[in-house]
Amino acid sequence: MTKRAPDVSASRPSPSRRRSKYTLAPLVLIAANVVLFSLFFVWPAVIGLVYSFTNYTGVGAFQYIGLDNYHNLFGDSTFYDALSRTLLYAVLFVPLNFVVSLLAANLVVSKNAKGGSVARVIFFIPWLLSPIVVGVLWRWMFGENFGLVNYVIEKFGGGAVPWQSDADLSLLVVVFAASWAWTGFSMLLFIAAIKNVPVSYYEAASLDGAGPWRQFFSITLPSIAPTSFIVILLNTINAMKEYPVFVALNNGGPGTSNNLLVQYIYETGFKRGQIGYASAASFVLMLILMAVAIVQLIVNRRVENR
Amino acid sequence: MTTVGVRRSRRLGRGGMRRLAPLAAVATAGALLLSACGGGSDSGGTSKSLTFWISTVPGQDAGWKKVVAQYKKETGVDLKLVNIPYDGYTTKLHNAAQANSLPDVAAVPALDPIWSNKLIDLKAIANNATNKINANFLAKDSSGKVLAIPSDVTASGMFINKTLFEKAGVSFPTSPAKTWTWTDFIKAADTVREKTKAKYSLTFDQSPSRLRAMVYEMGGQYVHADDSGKFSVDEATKKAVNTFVGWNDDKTMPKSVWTSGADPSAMFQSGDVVAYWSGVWQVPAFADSIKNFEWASVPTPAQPVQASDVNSGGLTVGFNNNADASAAATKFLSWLYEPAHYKTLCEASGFLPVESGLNPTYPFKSEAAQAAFKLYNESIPLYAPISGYFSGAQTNWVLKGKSLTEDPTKTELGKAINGQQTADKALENIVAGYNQQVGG
Repeated sequence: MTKRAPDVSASRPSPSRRRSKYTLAPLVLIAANVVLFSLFFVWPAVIGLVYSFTNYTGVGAFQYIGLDNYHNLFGDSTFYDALSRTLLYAVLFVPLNFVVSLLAANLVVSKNAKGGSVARVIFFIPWLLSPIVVGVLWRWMFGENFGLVNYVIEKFGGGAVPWQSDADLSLLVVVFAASWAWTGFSMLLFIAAIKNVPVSYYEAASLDGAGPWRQFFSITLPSIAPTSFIVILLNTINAMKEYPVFVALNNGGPGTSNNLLVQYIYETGFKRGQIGYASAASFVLMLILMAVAIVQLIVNRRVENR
Repeated sequence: MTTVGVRRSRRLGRGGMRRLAPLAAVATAGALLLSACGGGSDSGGTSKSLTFWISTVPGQDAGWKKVVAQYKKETGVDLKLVNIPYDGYTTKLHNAAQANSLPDVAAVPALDPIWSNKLIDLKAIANNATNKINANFLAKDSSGKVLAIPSDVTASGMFINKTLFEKAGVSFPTSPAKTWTWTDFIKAADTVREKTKAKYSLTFDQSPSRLRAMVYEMGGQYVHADDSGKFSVDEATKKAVNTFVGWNDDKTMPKSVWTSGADPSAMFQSGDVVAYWSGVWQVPAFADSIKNFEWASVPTPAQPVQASDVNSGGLTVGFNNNADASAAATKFLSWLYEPAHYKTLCEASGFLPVESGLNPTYPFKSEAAQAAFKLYNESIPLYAPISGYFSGAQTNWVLKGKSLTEDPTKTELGKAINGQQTADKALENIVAGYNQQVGG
């Protein structure tokens, strides 16, 4: 018996009607986001890019000056100082935060650890604090003149350490303060990743006689590589954009030695009224961040494809 | 109530809403027009009714309330006192000027070019010899028109830890007639620090105003413009600034205040610092907050110039809205600055007067606070004219449509104290910053 072919044309909508049905609805649904994104990101970014080619001061008219701002920026020693200090901060902060948060995550998920839930909350609380509060708290501890740490050092007969007036020590205090504040967030990402590693891997490794360190380096670390990539990427971008902790802790000091790039942009643009010049510096920072993200993405893909 | 609402909406329906839309638009436009007229009626008063804008923290407007009530009692003129939050005050005045609805009288934080041409000339009040208004602190334009008279003045002041001085057996002056030099003061403070094992001799606000005061006292003019409007610094300023930078040795003064923003007030209030160079506005706060030692205000050093950096706590202005209201506003301001009335204002508000010889009685319980106010009231008339230079310069910049948005002093001297540059280079950069922002 031959089956009669169904009348396709009668039961199905034509390809053009189907396309319109499945393209129109998503477009309508994302329209609000597209409008908001365009209004609050694309438009300000375009304005910022335009300003970077002008001598705009924030008020009145401005003139197009071509690449002068960029040309001046690359000859500006203060910009290089801020950039090099920013890179140094990122180089110190990112590995420290990675190690501390990974250690904390391993500790709280360990079968042998007691009070893991409480520890998780304690580690997470600093991330809930405003960066300004973090800065003030650490200032109380590492205040050079009347801070808790110097008080203890002096009680034990030592000399006061110049936590604020020595540029390198001042930077280190911010590195520790920021790591303390960001540990909770990175730890949460690591906890989720570690819990997704199949237990059978560890059981098999145990049967083969692998110890905890061997298991960590041969199973845990490779298994959580994508999460590690995200943590490093986010921390690098955050470090390059750091501002409030520095301002609250040492005001970018001593002097201007710890003025990072964002503070440099803020001071140039809003305090000295050089909006065009500050816009050029902002675009240089954006390009650096994009380069960092692309390089990390390429490295991550190569590692995954091995 | 709900039923009524439902019925109404049913009756209107969609067509009803459409019909009502033009009516609503007309009604709204009418309401806006009326409210605009209403806004105008708040200002531009008559000889019997004036509008007076101020901006103070609620509760600290006692002096203004008192004088307004007294004025109504004496003259029958009703002054409508409007206390506007500080954050929106400048904008509100700006908008009021554009809408032609300025108040008749106001106490303002600063002048604004948009309304400065509407100000009443207060020369007659300022020049009235009976009032004894300190001419150094008046806001004048280039033609000599007095645009504003300070409602009160503030100045830099030296606070000492009296307990530490007494413990060390070191004396200090109490009268501005017999004050000390900065050299004498630093020597005394260092001695006190060494004898009492205090941490620092002095903390110094990270403030251009404090530095200006110190430079004036050492005979300099700080950053000063010539007739062409170009800024420079004199040799006495260079010497004074170099001396100041040298004091930041973590013994006489802590480096962390000017380099990293540490809080000098908190340091002084800890009781472990010999002296604090700050503003007279600290007095009411110290009267309540310092309990663990005795403090005192001492005369500002004079080396050899007896000076300070004096600013107005507020500027009293009158607006020329119409001839009737303008005359009434002038009459009120003349009455206000009569010594007896002005004294009432200063006492109730805790103001340092711009007039000499008032001797106000303040309601402080603290003896140190009472003594401090007495000292400043005796000192201010003695200050050299340079003390009002910066305040006057700010007025001139405003009249030219310029403003010193960012005084480079803090950043540049912070770098000098941190060893990133010399004090002379810092001054060069500060002068360049002034020339760029308000020069010419």
